[in-house]
Amino acid sequence: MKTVNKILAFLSSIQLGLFCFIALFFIVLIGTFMQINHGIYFVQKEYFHSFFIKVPFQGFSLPVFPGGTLIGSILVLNLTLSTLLKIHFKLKNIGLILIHLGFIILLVGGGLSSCVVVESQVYMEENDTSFYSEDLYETELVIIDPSFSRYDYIVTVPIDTLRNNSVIRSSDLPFDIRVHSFFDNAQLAITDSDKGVASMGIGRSLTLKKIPVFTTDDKKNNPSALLSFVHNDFVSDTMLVSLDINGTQKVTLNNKLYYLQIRPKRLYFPFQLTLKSFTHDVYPGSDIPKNYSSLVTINPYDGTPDRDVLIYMNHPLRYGYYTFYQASFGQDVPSSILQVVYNKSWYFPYISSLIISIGMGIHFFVYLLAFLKKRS
Amino acid sequence: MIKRLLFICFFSFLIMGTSFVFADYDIKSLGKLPVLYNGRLQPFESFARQMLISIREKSTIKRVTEGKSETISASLWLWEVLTHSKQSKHDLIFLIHDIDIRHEFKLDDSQKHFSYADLMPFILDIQSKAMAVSQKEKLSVYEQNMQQLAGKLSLFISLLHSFIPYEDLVFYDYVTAYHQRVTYGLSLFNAYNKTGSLASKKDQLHLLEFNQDFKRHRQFSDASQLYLYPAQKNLEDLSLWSNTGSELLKHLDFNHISNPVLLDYAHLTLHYNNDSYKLFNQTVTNLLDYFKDSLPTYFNTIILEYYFTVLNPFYICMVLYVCVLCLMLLFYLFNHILLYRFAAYLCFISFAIHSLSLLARMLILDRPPVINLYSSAVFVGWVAIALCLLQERLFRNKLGYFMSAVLGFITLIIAHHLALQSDTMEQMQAVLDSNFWLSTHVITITLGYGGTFLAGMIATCYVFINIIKKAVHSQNLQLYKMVYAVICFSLFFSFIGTVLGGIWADQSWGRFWGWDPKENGALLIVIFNAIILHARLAGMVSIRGVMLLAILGNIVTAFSWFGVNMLGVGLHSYGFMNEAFQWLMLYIASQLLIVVLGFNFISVNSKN
Repeated sequence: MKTVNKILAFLSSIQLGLFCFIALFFIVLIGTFMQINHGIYFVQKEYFHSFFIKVPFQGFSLPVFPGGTLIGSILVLNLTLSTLLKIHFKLKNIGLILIHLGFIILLVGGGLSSCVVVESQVYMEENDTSFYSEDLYETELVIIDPSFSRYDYIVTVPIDTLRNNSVIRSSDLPFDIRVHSFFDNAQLAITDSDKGVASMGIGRSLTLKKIPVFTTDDKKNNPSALLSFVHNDFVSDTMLVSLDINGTQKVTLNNKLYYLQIRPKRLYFPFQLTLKSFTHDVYPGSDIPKNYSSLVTINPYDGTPDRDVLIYMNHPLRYGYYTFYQASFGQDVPSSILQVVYNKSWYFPYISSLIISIGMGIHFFVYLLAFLKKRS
Repeated sequence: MIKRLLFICFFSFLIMGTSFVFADYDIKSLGKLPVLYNGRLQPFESFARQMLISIREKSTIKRVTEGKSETISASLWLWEVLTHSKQSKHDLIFLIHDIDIRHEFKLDDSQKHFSYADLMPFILDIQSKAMAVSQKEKLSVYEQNMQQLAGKLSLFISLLHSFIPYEDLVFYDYVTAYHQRVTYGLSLFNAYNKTGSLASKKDQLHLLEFNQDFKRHRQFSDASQLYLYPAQKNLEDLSLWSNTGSELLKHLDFNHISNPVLLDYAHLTLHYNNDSYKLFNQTVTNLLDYFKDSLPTYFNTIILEYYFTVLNPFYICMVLYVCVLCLMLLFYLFNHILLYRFAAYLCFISFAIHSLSLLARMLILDRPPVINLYSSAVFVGWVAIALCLLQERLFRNKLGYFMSAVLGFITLIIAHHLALQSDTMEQMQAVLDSNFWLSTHVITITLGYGGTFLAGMIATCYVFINIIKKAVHSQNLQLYKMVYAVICFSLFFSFIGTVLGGIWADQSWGRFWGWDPKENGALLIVIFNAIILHARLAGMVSIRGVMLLAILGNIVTAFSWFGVNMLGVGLHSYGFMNEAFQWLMLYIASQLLIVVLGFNFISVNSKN
């Protein structure tokens, strides 16, 4: 019992909380500086959404500092225990309790949203219709079975599965996939036929060079893999799949045709989206952009009538958990690039910030009153 | 009473000192004429100063004639550039810091400023060198400077296109001749289009000339960014304003009647060329009256902006804060109460000017007080001073005016230098164009900055008081309470500000938090203030510890205010600055030095 008490006392101690704050301060600081040379996606993954910040050392990555997720989790524990065990539930402390409660919700919400938020983009020229957006970073291998008359049967394999397994076997797949080699980033070049890296498909005339992973946002990685397909006892030739290979490649197994491709992960909308027009206003007599706006039509699948929506600066389109905002535009033809965020946990920060703000207001006001009372 | 009168006299003297007096040409009225530049209607004087700042990196210009140097107003300088006066070609306005560039073009190495005439032989060379590196990702200092110089030259050349780019021709004569030939030219053009040929040789030449006019005016229109002429109907529709080239092109419409504003400007060039300043002044007055009647919504703010620009009240405030600082230092030396009272009066006057100027800026721009880095500096100073004055009223420890003066001076000198880097009244880029968010998120976050700086300032005073003389415990305790209260204040506002920023981000980008450097900067302030409060609560730091942490808070705030902009990344990087970097480093070093001093010289057990 004594040990439990000791552990509880440690976990709820203000010293631990303070340690977490200081660690958090340095994580944020380092994460900010790292953005000089790395893209935001990389920094989030490595510093803010990780258990440990790791440094490469002789082929290994050594954890050198706690990451955002670890510190956040300890802080949630510390805040919860300290609020329950250390703060007396008195009227005077209501502000303090609210601040801590709000902070717990904020951290939990932040952790949750780092898992559930999907950010993607959709590029549309005027009069284009789209029903999905593409993830900016995540990719997937798709195996398409076109033999059905009204639809395609598509199996997706996350890129992580390709990276971590040598054989991929699933009840959804009519065959096994053997991964001979996987590259997080590779450079492809055209060579003579049959001198390429693979023995079937376009890869027969492509060479592959492994290159370091890009960590900046302006360069896209090109995940690639050499695969063969196993059906009963038959083992196919090797095929190169790569993000840089545009379009699908055919493979015939057991007399059946399949299409394969590595493509950006897709986020499907519950509606069709059509770009009617895109406008780009500048201030009179200048090149300073005043507004970008996209007039789109939403045509939901659930039978609700379609409607026109204007998406412009500071006014995104919200539809369920989807947010479409004006991110950029194409240079050559009137076209629009919309950023699509799917976030099921959007309300967490609102609730928590409100609670914390009220808490701080009450807490500091109580102190101010006490101070003024003393003065008078 | 006498003291008050003295102050009023001193103050009016300062204001008078900054205004320009011209005996002949009414350049003041010229400076009030509205022009459209970068999407904003502004007085000619504002535009002229911006041009000077962009080219000369100063808002004033000195002209050397016959060995005598005199300051001329920005409006006069610009007018002479627009009208191609010979003197303007010899004004030393191009600032070239780079010694390599000066050597390369064999320019006089003993000076840094050069005239357009000096650089004229090298324009093509400079521009092609700048073009050659325009696609490069990382530029060397020399290449950056070459690009900057090319930019300055293009800007100057675009000014030369504001009327007509010919030195030997007065704009009035050009316009008159053009008016005479355009109607006939147009009829010839129509005739040619119908029949496919023109019989007379003279007519053919006339048509050729007419075509040349058309091409030339297209070129003028593309080259100039200065929009001088409103539409003849609906003058307040800014999208219909035009520059000289496009105004002359309008004559291709048979029914077009010459724009009276264009004619007035043409007359001004004539009168200026003929040295007939009475007629010049008369025309300027008429033009001003015309705008007064036809731009009812904008005219008053334009006049307000003119006086605001000419008086430069923030500069006056800066000078006044220095005076307050000196008076307070004298007071600390001689302990004469009169010095303290003087300082108090002066501080209040300066704060009043500071506040009124902020208000004037808000009226001129129709925006909340903080819209860019420049205005954030002015506003951070204002918040900190307001808090200083409040604390002086509450505690009367004779530190308030001293701290006001220091904070006022530092923030305004930062603003002064920022003003030399870009247009301080620029239009808001698309996503920032939201008065609601600018007035909620930006103001609260700036209140937080102001508070943290004040806490750091009080803590700095604590360190120095304790080093210079052994402070009484009660005095230390009072300072400590002040710092504690101010930290609570800034924690509250920086938290609310950060949250509002998150909400803005969620509203416009669909995500509350994106770990962007500016967001992280704001978060760092919140965390740091929370660290101070919790360290105190845990009993890990005493009075001295809290004070030294508060000084470190200055570094955190300076980093998130300016430092993150220097990283040059992220969605918020609206003000990337190179030169400021060394100043920031110097500031950080000074704060660290104060912390070290405090750590070494003040005993932790100074019984708190």
